[in-house]
Amino acid sequence: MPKFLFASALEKDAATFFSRLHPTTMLIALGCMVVIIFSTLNFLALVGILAFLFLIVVFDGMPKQSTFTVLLVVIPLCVFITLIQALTDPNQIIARFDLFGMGILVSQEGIFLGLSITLRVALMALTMTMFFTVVHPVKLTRALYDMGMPFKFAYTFVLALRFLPLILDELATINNAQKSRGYDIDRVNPAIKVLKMFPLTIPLILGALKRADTIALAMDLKAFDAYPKRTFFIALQKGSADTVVRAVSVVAMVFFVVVTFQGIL
Amino acid sequence: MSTAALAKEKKPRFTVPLAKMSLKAWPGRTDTKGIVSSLMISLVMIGILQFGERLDTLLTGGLFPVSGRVISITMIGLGTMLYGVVGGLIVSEINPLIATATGTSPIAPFFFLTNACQVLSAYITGKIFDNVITWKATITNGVLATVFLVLVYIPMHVLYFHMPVEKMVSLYAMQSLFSLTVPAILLRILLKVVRDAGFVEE
Repeated sequence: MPKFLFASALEKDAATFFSRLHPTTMLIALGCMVVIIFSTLNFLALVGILAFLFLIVVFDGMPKQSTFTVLLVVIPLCVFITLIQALTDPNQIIARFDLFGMGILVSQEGIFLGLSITLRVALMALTMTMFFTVVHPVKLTRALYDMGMPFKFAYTFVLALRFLPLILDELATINNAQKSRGYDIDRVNPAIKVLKMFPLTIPLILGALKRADTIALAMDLKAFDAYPKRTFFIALQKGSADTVVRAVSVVAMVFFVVVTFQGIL
Repeated sequence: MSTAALAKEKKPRFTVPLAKMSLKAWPGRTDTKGIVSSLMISLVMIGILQFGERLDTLLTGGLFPVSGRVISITMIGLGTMLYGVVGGLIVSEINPLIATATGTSPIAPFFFLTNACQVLSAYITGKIFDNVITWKATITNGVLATVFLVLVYIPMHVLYFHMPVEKMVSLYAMQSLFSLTVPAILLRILLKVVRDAGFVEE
């Protein structure tokens, strides 16, 4: 599992322009960006958006390596989608060959469509990753609470980030314990790995449920969610930058949608 | 009392939410223990998915997940049956949040919808059966989840990935073959283990 991206937000809180913004502003910007990405399949337009996101990452001082890791994950998907589109699209055939007696046709249009779809997937993944890189989880919880979500549900995301390393550590410990008994999941045939995971899964689930009992008791003892109205240590304030980012996001989204529907892109 | 009535009375009832069967499946168990326990099941799912998703990503780039789907139907089914719909939603929605935040899967944003379908299938199964710790119930859950997932995946593949769905039937069939059978077995075993470990309460 890659290093948690939010760590940068925790370590350098308020150090970048986007991490200083109100989480609601970032949610609006994220929503607008998703609509923009979905509105077009034009390869050049998508390359332009990718370049824009690159510039934001570089100039805002986001951790480049961990932010762009997501693009590496897209590579197998890119190969698969492009291959399928290239082999199934009937237009603009650029090559044909025989494979086990079957005639295989390769389409140029399919290759470009596959690359455009991959680029769209990569942009979606990059946008989401950038959002979680700059938005502090505690601030996000606060914003969700302000938007009307019950605190105990809004808080689960923070809790998940807090306890995930613990569970992963426990999984590694159980895995090592099983290996020492001669049961090495890493050497199991990958095709049947899921079926062979019980020696890891069952102790992990039972341990996690036992741990949950203790955690819930500790939280209840500290009066978690005991009062309908709660106060917060972290204050969220909207500034003029928030207004500007919101306005620019909405205008850009409307512009892209209109331009796409008019057939310019 | 007739013998049939006596037999019916003695038949064990294990209703959703299993962690507190006096509650209704909707919203289920929403106290601190219910929420934290659902969260823990969700984290366990994320941990186990690390092993399962590798193969899916390698073979199809994660577009036709097989291991991932088996694990998610099993774990989300377990969470929903143990803690009800809200617990199930916590199990199902934390995974895409974490996967998106850590950049582990490019199609993670779609898991919000596909995982929610599996909560629905477990909820419907709980409505149909008085005892969910049975083969019939877990097989029904697997069938419903598979049907819902195919119904959600096809539009996603067409609209978002422009896939030629008519040429992908064999891939859907292979995926469905696994998700119809394997999660039913795994879920039945897990539910029995959790019940025997004392996490099922009246």
